[in-house]
Amino acid sequence: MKIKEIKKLAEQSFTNGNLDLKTIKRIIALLNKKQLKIYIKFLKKMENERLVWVFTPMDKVENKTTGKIKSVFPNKKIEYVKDPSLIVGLRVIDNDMVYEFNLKDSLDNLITYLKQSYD
Amino acid sequence: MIKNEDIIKELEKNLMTFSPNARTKNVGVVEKNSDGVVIASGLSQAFMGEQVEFENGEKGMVLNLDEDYVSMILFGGGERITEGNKVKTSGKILSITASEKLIGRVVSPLGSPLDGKSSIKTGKSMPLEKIAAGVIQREPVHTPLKTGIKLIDAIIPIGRGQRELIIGDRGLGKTAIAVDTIINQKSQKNSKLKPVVCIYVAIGQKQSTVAQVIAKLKEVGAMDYTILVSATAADPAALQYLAPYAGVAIAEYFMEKGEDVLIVYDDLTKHAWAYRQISLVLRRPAGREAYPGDVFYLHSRLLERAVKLNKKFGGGSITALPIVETQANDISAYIPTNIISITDGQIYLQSDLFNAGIRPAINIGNSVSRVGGAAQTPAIKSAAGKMRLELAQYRELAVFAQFGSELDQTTLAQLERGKRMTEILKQPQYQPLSESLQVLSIWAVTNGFLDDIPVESTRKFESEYHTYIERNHTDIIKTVETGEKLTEDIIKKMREATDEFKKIFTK
Repeated sequence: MKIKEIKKLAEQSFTNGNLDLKTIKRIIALLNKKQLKIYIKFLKKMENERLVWVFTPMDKVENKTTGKIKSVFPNKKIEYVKDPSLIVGLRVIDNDMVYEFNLKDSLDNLITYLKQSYD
Repeated sequence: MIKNEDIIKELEKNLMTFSPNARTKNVGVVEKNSDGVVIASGLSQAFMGEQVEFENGEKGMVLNLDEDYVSMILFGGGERITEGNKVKTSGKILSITASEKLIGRVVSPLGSPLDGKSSIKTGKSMPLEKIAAGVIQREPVHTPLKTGIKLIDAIIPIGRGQRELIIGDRGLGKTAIAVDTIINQKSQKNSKLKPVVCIYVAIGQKQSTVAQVIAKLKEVGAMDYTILVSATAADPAALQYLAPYAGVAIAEYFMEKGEDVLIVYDDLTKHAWAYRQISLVLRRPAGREAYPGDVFYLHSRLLERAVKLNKKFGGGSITALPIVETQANDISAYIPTNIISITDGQIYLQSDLFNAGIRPAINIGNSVSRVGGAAQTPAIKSAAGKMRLELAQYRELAVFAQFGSELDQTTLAQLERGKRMTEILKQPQYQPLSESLQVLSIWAVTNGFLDDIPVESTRKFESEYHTYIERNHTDIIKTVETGEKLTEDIIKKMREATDEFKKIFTK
């Protein structure tokens, strides 16, 4: 089976944004070990595409903020993770895109800039 | 050292310009790392030629974009990059920081110092890949780039903005011609012509060879106007692939300032090998001799960046001297034919001539300069005009003379003069000659002043003749140095001076 076909099968494994166990059982019966590995990789990737990670230094995120994030990513599942190293602000990870809006990143950038600009 | 005030100033600036916009990063995960090529998933926003950074600080460049994966070449060894490592895009196309501070330095294709001196952090960021100047910005080649080598300056002249290939087997003096040309730019500093910034790009060479070139350039004081970009055989193929592009990016920095630049690519055969290695690891379809299909474009886009800009665009120029190594004098191999067709001429070195003691071992029949003639000064043009034809005739006659048949007086005279011409055109390494002395030598031999001098004394005659004229006839030197056409008056003076010298020499 070609990789493209396995990818198609992985796409077919989702029903209404959730994995369909019945379909998956039917699919895995058709795959060998190597193909199964690729299939799982695609499933993971697709699951990841449906998930948005929000890192915040606070214990609890304000309702106003969660509402805003929800409106930006309407069809995605949002997971909140506490990360005190950010100091202030947020880090949002949507699949392979990282949106940095925190003090730690600003300071890191400044350090890199100074290192690159001065002997 | 960073000053405290600078840090505070930058902090203040950052605070003042702080915008509430999120900074976006495009990240990926390493799936495979083999032979200096990394394949990563993610990186959906990556573009060709973009610089990427791995979480351990190593850097690379995007070279392949597939549906699910991105392939990158590494600038370092990549031993510490493992499966699952994060990689992020920089949003920047690969570039090198260029400034005047680079002059006299030895740097890697990424701009990091290789001479143990401090790194160059300030300057203009020049992209390694850039579309060459268009026809509107260009003008025809018209200014000479003097190599100081009699044979080249007289018969295969090079103009500023030209691309002249130096081709031949190993050990025949290809690098020597390039180094001599760099050395000769020192003496041009006092001439009417603009000084030339020289860039020597070493690709896939032995470190010892590069060290020798550096030592020679330092010894003769040529490092004062030369930059060395080095990616030796010990460096990853990625760096060897990038080296000529880094060199030309630096050259463009100086050219944009209106300066004339000479860039030597030593050599493009090894560059093609490095690119072949990368392409095979990237699983690109292999073509003839396993080179990828775009190996012609690899060199054409590089050499197209050699240019003579018109005055409206600053009037700067980049003259390229690419070097290609052949195997068993075969100039019809894949890479040599490609580069011959790209360049504006070639200097072909032949092992037979080298072994016969003719150095530089340039084969005049196979060497040509397609645009350099327009850049030759009238002085050398008038002196060397008939030389090419006479030499060609001599070579033809010499072949017949081998059969030992009886020859008439005219043919014998032609053969004798040919022998002296060949002797006069011999020149030791690292001893470039000024144009005035070249004109004198060529003028003397083509006008028969050496016909009665024994062949074995020709070289002695020439060196003493130069000394004599330099000491006693500075007016001749000064007039010829202007490059203007030799007038009847100056020819008369040259004739008298040469006769005078001959009397002393033959005593």
